[in-house]
Amino acid sequence: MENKEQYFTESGIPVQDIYTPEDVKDIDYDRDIGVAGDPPFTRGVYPTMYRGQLWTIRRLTGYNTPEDTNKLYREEYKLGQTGFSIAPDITTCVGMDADDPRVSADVGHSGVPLNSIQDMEVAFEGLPIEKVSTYMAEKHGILTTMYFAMAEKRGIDLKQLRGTTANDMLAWTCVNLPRQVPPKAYLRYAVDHVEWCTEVAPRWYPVSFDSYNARDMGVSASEELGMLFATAIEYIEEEKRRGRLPLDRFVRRFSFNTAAHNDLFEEVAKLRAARRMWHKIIRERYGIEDPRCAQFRVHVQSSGSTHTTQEPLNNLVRIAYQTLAGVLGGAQSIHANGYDEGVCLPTEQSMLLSIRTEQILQCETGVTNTIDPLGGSYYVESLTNEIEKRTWEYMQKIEDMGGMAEAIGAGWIHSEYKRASIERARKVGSGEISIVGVNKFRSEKEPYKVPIFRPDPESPQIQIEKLKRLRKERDNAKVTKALQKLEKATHSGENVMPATMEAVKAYATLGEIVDVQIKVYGEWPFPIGM
Amino acid sequence: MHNKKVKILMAKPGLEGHWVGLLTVSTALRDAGFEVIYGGNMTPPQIAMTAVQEDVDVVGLSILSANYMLLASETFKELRNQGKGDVLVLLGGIIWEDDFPALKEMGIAEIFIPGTPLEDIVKFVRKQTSATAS
Amino acid sequence: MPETGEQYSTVSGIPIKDTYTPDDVKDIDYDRDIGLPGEPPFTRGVYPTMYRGQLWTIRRLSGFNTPEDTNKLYRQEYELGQTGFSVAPDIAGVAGMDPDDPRASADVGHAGPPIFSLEDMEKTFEGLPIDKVSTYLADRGPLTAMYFAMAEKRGIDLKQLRGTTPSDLCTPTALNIANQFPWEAQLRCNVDLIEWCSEHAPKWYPASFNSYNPRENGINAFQELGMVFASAIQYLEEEKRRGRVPLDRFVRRLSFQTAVHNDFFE
Repeated sequence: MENKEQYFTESGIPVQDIYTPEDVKDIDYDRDIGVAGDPPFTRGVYPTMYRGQLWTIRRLTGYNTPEDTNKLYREEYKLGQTGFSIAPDITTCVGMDADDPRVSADVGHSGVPLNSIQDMEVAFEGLPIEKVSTYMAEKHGILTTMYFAMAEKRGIDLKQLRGTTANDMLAWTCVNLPRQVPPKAYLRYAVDHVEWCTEVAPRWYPVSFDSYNARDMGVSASEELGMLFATAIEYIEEEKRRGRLPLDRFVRRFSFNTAAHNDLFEEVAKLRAARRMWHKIIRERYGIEDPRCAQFRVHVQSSGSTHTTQEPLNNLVRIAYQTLAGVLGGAQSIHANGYDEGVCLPTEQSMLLSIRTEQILQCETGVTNTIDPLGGSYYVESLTNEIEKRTWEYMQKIEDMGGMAEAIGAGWIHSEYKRASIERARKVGSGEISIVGVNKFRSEKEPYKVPIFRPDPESPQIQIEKLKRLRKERDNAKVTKALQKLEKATHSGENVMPATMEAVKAYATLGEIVDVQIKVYGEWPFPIGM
Repeated sequence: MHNKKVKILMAKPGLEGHWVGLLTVSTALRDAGFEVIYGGNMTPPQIAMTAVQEDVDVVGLSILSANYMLLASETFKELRNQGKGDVLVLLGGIIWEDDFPALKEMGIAEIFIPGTPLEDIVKFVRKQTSATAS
Repeated sequence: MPETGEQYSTVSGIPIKDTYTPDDVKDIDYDRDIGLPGEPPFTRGVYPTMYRGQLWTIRRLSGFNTPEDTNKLYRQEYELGQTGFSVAPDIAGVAGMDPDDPRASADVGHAGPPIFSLEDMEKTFEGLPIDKVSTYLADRGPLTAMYFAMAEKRGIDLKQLRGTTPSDLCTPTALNIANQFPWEAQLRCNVDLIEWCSEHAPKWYPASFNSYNPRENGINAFQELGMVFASAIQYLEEEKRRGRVPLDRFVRRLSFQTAVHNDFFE
């Protein structure tokens, strides 16, 4: 007797009690699964995978001030982290400078304020950016130009510089932040950035399509992938329309960023399906032959929305399983959250444990010893097929609306989040979704306390003083000229990145550059309400 | 017995933009029969102004970043300045237990952390607002 | 990137290829070698519905200080959702010594509670629903007898009582436990218990061949399995020699216990 009438994955795919050769009899091994490093890439993007190179341990971090963040990065590097990842604070995310009177309470929260190239230099002081790649969690390139300008000052050849700019329009639909430009304007900036990087920094990943936040909003695995690919397609269509770059060069350094949620086998299947689908999109839809353009290179982060405020140590276990899913799914780079993700920014202890979680997987569990170890499992192959099928269906919906930019502009994507989160809240309330320690096995009172990270309340003032000094000491005439040039370039439709780079080198601030964007395009109201 | 529907302003003070929690609770309150004004992200002065303009009975704040003490106290200051100092204020989000007493002292009537069943929030609002109504 | 390791292998030394394909499993006959759970050859699981029918038991081997403290701990674990009990007696008890034995002194109450009489067993399980929840006793016989006596005193029918006694020969080889009698004598006692339980406590598992400690001593995965199966066979051969209980009744409630080591897929 089974306990439930029906079993489902977390994303609602029915799960049989057992899977047998019957369930996979229509699979053609060479056509559908193949070998890692070869189309259709189902088993992995590279031929040797972790036997050749382990995934990068890359935690998205940043707090207080660039000085404190620098200390943190040095610490993480010493502990064995293999890539940097910068989390700007809320004010930087909205493109406001720390001394902007509108932002007082939010400076230094949820990340590090980065207002100018000066801050970037402090954040990366003494760190080997010519050896280690950096991920910039930013909209479309302003922080990246600061990073590039810093690299140039250090004598590093931009053509060798490695790292990633998020530059993804999907992620920004998930947060209601002011000073957002309309989706079509966003697309313009994003594609400018990709074009420019392709030229000046060909080893840089100028975009990392990001479905992490969407997944955190409660959408399913195939909706997550659907949104992800619809966004990537939108960028390619925009470049197709512009006709400035050959498409194979344009997509060559595309990368992706997904969540690793709770349902272990579903998450593994999702990544395998994603690899096969991306190959099909590039090869069949766009006719691009170079197989390197069809590699779904992915950074995976454990899903913060699953980490509870109650009994925070339980999150350690959740994170370990989610990270394992990312590994079994063949991710290139992984961020394991701090167990205190549901409570605060990571403490030193939780930061250490995050890094150790990944290192234990790499060094002790043997799961890296063979490529795609779950390949061939009747269940996993069936799930891979099913997720692919459902994702194509979801993508068709977005296509029918006119593409991702239209879907965002019409508020449809946001309404999907609304639907998914209300549905999830209902299921948690009814117990259909179990959360141990919260709606299942809940203790009467919290059984223990964990150390809490509190941001330094002095940080905002430190940052404000720095900005005041910067504005006084820089050549303000030069800044004004550069910003005017940037405005002109924005109006003319040419690629804005060279002008942005010039402004950044003149010590224009982030807020000043975003002001130009808002001036030209206007502020786009967030399309969500009751 | 009041005939007027209980009015609740739901808002996020500050810039932190994760809106799903606020919207989910707002929807639950609306479905429970309250009149809900979904403010989204608003500055503390905007919250106070809207609270006065709409003559709300309850203000619900959602804060997921660590600066909730600062934002909550700014909001209270503005509410008092605009003559709405006695409105019922609730707080939801990632709030550390150790800070509950200080927040309650400030005037927050109740704090709801993630995982709180939605009907508990509805029940609380119902109880508090019918107590003041009668 | 070219591969970094010279030769890849599991923790137990089985060589690992870079990739496995249908070629590697082409000689497998699905029905003969894999089949369905709950059916021979049971490769996929012992029961037909597995966790969809019943989740595994959450059973922590625990105990400390005194029977009273251990009882409090068991009540707490039960409240937190643990679904089976598991008694770890103290070091002196494992050596079969009473607390007042001069040889035991420093080891009384360490690594578990002293349970040296029926009274202690009763204190350990006071207020706990042993008629509903099964108990594992890390014991060589006497504790099991105390547990059964306690159950009888509570009016519980031994024929319905559920739990496990290890009756295991491997563990004493892996640990230097004092006060042991020769292995043939241990085998004699253990097989006696199995025979007796098959008659009087047919829902009890009177043996749980245990490779946990040997694995902790450093042997590998197939040596671990080899040891438990060789032990099980030894007991079967002993009963065959004795001829007292039909073999199918004898083996009906034999169970196993292994370590779960680092190498995930191994």
